[in-house]
Amino acid sequence: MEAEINLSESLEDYLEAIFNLIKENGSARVTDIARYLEIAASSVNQGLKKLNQEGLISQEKYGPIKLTKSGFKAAEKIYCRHKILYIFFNKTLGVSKKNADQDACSIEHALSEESFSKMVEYLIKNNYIEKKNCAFEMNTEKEEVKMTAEQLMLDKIKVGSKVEVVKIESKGRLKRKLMDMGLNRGAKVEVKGKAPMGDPIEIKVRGYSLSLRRDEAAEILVKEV
Amino acid sequence: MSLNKLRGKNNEVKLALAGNPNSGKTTMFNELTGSRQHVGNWPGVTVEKKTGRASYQNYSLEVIDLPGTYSLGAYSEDEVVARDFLTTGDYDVVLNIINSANLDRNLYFTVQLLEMGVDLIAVLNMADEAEKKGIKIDKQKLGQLLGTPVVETVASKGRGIDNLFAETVQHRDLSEAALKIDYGSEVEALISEVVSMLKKFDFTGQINQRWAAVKLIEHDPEAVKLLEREVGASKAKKIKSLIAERELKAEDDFDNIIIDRKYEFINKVIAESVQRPAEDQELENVSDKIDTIVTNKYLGIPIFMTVMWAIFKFTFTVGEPLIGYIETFFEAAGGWIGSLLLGAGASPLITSFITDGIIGGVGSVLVFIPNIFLLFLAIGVLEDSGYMSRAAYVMDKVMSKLGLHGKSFIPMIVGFGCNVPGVMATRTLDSKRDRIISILINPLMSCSARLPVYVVFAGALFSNHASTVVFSLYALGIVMAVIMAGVFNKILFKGERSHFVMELPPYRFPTLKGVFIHMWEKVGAFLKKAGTIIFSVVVLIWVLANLPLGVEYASAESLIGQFGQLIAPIFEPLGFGSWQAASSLVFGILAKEVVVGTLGVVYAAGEGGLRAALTANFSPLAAYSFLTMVLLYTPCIATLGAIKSETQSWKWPLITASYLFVLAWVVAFIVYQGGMLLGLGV
Repeated sequence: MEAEINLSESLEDYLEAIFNLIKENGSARVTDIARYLEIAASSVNQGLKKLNQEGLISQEKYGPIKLTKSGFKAAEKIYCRHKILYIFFNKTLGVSKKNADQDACSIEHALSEESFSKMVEYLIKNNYIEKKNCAFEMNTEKEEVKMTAEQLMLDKIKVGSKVEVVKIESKGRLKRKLMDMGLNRGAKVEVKGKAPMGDPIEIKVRGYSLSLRRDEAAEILVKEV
Repeated sequence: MSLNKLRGKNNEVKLALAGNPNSGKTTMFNELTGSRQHVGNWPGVTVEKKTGRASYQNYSLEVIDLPGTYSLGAYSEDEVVARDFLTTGDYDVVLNIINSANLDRNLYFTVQLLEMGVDLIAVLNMADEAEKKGIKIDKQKLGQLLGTPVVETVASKGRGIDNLFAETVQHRDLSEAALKIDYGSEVEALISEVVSMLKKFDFTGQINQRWAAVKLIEHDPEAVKLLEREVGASKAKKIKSLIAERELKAEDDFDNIIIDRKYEFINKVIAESVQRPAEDQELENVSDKIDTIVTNKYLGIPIFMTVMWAIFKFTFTVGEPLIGYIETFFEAAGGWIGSLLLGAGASPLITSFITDGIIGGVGSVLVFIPNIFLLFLAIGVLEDSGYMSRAAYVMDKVMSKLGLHGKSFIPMIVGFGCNVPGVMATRTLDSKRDRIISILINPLMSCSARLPVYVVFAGALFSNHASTVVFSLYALGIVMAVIMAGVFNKILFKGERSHFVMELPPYRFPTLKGVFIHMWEKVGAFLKKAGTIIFSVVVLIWVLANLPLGVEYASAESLIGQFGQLIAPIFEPLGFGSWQAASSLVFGILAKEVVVGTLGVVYAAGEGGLRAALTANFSPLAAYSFLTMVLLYTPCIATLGAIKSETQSWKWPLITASYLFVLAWVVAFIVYQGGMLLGLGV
């Protein structure tokens, strides 16, 4: 399991905004986030830089912002807290929708793990939410992740290790080329070595040697075998 | 099979060779056709087309070598050429050359051919390598599972070739049904819907409709284009949106599902027909051992540098005396024929036309032969041995910074000797983008013909710093190459991402036959294509230097001299606006070292007098500006000819000639005017 990351309040807001924008529009761009949070694009850029350093998002130059696996988890968690708080205020206490939303927004960052789970229990008991709510899903997913072997990008695999391809995340020509060369789901890969300057790397797949650059390997999701 | 059809064909069989790179396809082609080969180009692209002839019993066979590809997608020129030929080309049977030691990936290509409905014979080549690895293939079972005849060969040793011929003439009319792979209920349902829509829209495209449907579902760009051409945009859109709609609901991208299923099918075929040793019992691989040394963290780069140095030395040092012989021969021949003609009463002008123009022209083509010959001998050994891809692997980090491929390093190095073989060496690059950019910047590598110009000027005007001046010019060329590579990446190939997904083939001993055939091809191609251009321009320049009738060769009154006077003002801001300097640059297009000879002629300076003439006519700053011009401006006609023949279009030599002229002018301008501002003009 990844280490708990302590995020400041505003960074959690960015993460939530990206999460919601991706859910709604399929993508999140700096201008969208600025509009969503009603702040200047320049401060958004600063926030994104921090998120990037924490490894929660990835962004290609001028491209859309993507959540990394841990970024997605963190965002999901915040989103779920927001939802639970909102339901609690609105449904049980009868707070107006607008204020329930705003209060949820400011409390979601500070709420302790204990209060949160008690709140979830209470809501389930009184039939405000289903047993299989977002918090439940989050917890079960954690279990699942613990069960399966750790998944990594191929460029992070040590020389000499053997892994199995889970997914090619590249698009277009590169994806096709990688798959044509036999790097599809389930293919067994052994990292044979790296070039004198550290890049590209050499792998063995389907009985032959293949070289690829690190940034290309960084688009291949693998798991240890 | 109907006998009538066979008789109707008059014992003429058309074969196409298809298969993965490194499957021994070229060796097989050489083995089948011997020296009866013809090298050309596929229409409209820079992909080489090789055809050859063979005979077996009373059959006459035409063999077409398709470009080696891993797949039949639409993502490279090679793939498109192979695919177009296989769908619409004129052939009877395809010999699919398979590397027996690497069935998994090779069969991926075979399966694609079979799905297209191509009539093929599966040729299990390199059977000896498979044997060594302990791989046992049940040919009959494999043939049964794939539904195609299977033949075993070792092309490099000529084993199994007769058998292959026999199978070929026997099976040249297979007309088998296309292979069907089960893509799972979701995709299969969509395939049948798309096929029925294709039928409704009267789509034929001369291809198997199921195959077309699968390609459309994979979002293959060429298939989509073909569909749009055949049925029109609106009907094509119906099919496209059906596929898009289904894909949204599907559990995975369709192309993932299709490729996964193909490999599943192959795994099943292999499991049933091939026995191989368990993974941990595999013999220690010799190639891997060599790789641990050749790509070693500390040894990799020194080994690469040594190999490059050896190639450079081999090409140019061994070549030099040979070039000397050629030059001496043509001078002697010119002199001898000249005196013969004069003796027979021919006018001096006609004599000069024949000796300086024609014989000189032929000579200026032939002087390149030794270098091209030796370079491609070396490159052939590098490629066939497997070191070429390791060299690229070792150097890729540096070259990728320029947006280029690791393999681009070799043409660059060779360019320092001569840009003509440098340009020709870009053939080893697979992507068009890498090839074009490497060609465009190759003339910036200061070739050896420019050195005499630097030496003469540096000796005359910078005697104390001669070597620094020469070195700075080489460095300037490299810096410009780096900058221009970046610029071309941005403007010509914007948004195209280069990649380095490349097979590192096992090390092998190169076959003498293969290397020599490769070498002859290069020399032949150079003579035929670049040679004619070089020859014509040499003759043209001779004519221009001697017209109007009666003028002295290359004098101010000759057409070239007049042209020099006309363009001289262009060079005024660069510090050398004289007609002499301008004409010498015009002549430099013949070959860069001619600049020196021309300056000698136009300043009417004898041996040794040139030095004084240069000191009198150039300030050191103007001289340095002139040298940057010589370094950077329009390359010699031989290089332009090579670019034309490599790119199959006049577009690229014209772009090269003009961008370099502008670049040279700008840089020389900055040098001269900047120097003046800094007070260096005295």
